[in-house]
Amino acid sequence: MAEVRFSHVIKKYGKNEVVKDFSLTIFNEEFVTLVGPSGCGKSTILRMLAGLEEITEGDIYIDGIKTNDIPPQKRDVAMVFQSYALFPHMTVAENIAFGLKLRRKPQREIVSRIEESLALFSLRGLGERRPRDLSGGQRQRVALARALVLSPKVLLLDEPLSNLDAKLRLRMRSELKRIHRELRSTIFYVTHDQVEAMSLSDRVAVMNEGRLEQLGAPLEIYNSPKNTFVASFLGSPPINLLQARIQKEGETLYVNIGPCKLALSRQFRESYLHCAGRDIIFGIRPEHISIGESGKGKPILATVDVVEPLGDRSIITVALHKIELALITDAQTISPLRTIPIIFDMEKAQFFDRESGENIICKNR
Amino acid sequence: MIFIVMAPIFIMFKYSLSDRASVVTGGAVIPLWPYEPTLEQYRGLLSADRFIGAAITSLKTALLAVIISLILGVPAAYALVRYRFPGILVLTTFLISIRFFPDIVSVVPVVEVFTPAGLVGNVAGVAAAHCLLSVPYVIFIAMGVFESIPGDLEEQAQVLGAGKITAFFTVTLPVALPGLAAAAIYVFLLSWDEFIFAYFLMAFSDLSTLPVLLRKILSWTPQHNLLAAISVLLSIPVVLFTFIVQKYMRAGATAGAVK
Repeated sequence: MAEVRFSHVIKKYGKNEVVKDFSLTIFNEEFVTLVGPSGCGKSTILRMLAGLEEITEGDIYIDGIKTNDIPPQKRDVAMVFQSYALFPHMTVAENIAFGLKLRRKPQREIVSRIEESLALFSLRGLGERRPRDLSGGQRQRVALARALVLSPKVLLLDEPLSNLDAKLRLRMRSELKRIHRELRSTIFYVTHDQVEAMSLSDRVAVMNEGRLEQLGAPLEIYNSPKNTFVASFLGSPPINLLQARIQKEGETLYVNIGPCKLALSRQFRESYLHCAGRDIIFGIRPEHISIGESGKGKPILATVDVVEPLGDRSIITVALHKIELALITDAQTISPLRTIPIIFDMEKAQFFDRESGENIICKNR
Repeated sequence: MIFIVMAPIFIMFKYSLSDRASVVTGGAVIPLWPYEPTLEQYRGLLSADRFIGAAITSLKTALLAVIISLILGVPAAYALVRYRFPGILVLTTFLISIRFFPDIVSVVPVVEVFTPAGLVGNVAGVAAAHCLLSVPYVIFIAMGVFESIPGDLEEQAQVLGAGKITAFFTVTLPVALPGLAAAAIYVFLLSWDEFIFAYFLMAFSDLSTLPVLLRKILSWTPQHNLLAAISVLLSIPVVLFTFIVQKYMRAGATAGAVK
């Protein structure tokens, strides 16, 4: 297992720069997820690490060794493709043995390693089947087994769960987490699914348009996003971003959203004092808006527009003076067109610069 | 539909078994089944050196054409599919350009070029001419085959430790085999049935392929039953070859590879 370091990596296709100055270190045994919308360059980064794509500028190091010019077969990384890329003319066992055979392992070792990995991935008894006779979940596990049987330095996973149905995806997610815990492998995971990124990783790297926007532990990124892109990319339903204005009246700071006026508590006064009189973007996550009269702060009246029950809780869209807001509640008795009081948890709110979209607090730190 | 397809085959088969009386009826209706079915024609043909010789020539030519056109066409197709380079369209157009003209038009220049090269009056020459016709098709069929194989498979093989060449021979080629078998059948049929090039290139020699021999017999003694027997014998290797190669033509060869 190993440490991977990207140092100012740039990838260009012609004049089109798809990866812009990308630097990232993945520590030994760490599970790092690269997340971003499709086309943001995350798969390209993975493929450059695997050696399938040339690096235009910058360097990639595996265990301190520069790997720019090492062909994929000599990098000792394993990769699971989104499509699984199982060899259709080989049985499951032959698929798993493929890499071992190329490494000229003795026959006895190959057999025992196949047995081991079939057991580890609950594929016992399927060794003689062909990929076409397997279910989606089984194929996925074969692809994982084939990669991990080589005990690679780094395991690369390119959207490995995206072809599975919702139920299976959930199961494979915990399975992946278990495998990472048991094998202690360094894993670099690419996905566009923010839930996967949040739930699986030690650290998450959020990408947009070829740039690394933010890197950090899942909750750290969730709770203090660096800008509006990161804030709205993580979380479902996404964070509410509202046009607002900070105003100072006497000793108190207020956030004005439309005609509503929300007081900021004293502890935040320092942080936002310099923003007084400025237009900002006010961000609040759906779970930080509560329904009811009690709680911190003054309730505001809003009209219920849409109710989406999820079972244990509901997503409710309300209109606050023509501004749409999503909130999550476990109350079961909300019906559309009713007027309800809502309270913003101002301590959890985020403030972003209207122009740059940067988080005002993060920027100050 | 079945009738339309089967009728000529039946008639050919019937004639091949007919005795002379069932063919030359002197104005009476030709019977649906010969009066006295006989294998006389077959016996005669199979013991005739001329026929056996032509059959062997045909077989040699066809197999040689298959081998050469696969060796030339498959790597070309692979390169055209996997590597993008400028002028690719112009190149593919050139590759198929011989098929723009009727065979009878291209045969003269071909003979003219082949004569100084010593490719006239022998099997190699005819096979080479047949390759001119078949290579474009092989390239097109094989391009379709390689396009249908996801590039992921090869890249996966590389990440697992295979070099580019190993990846091609252990993964891409075996997966492509069924499709390439289809191309092989096509070339075999094309060469086996081809007449014009074989006729011109073998005009001044004792060699002849079966279609050429058929024409020679046709121009002298057009005996229906004998001709039919030759036709049947001409079809047998085609059927056999197709059956053999078809084993590799399993449907859904790439099923389960991706997704």
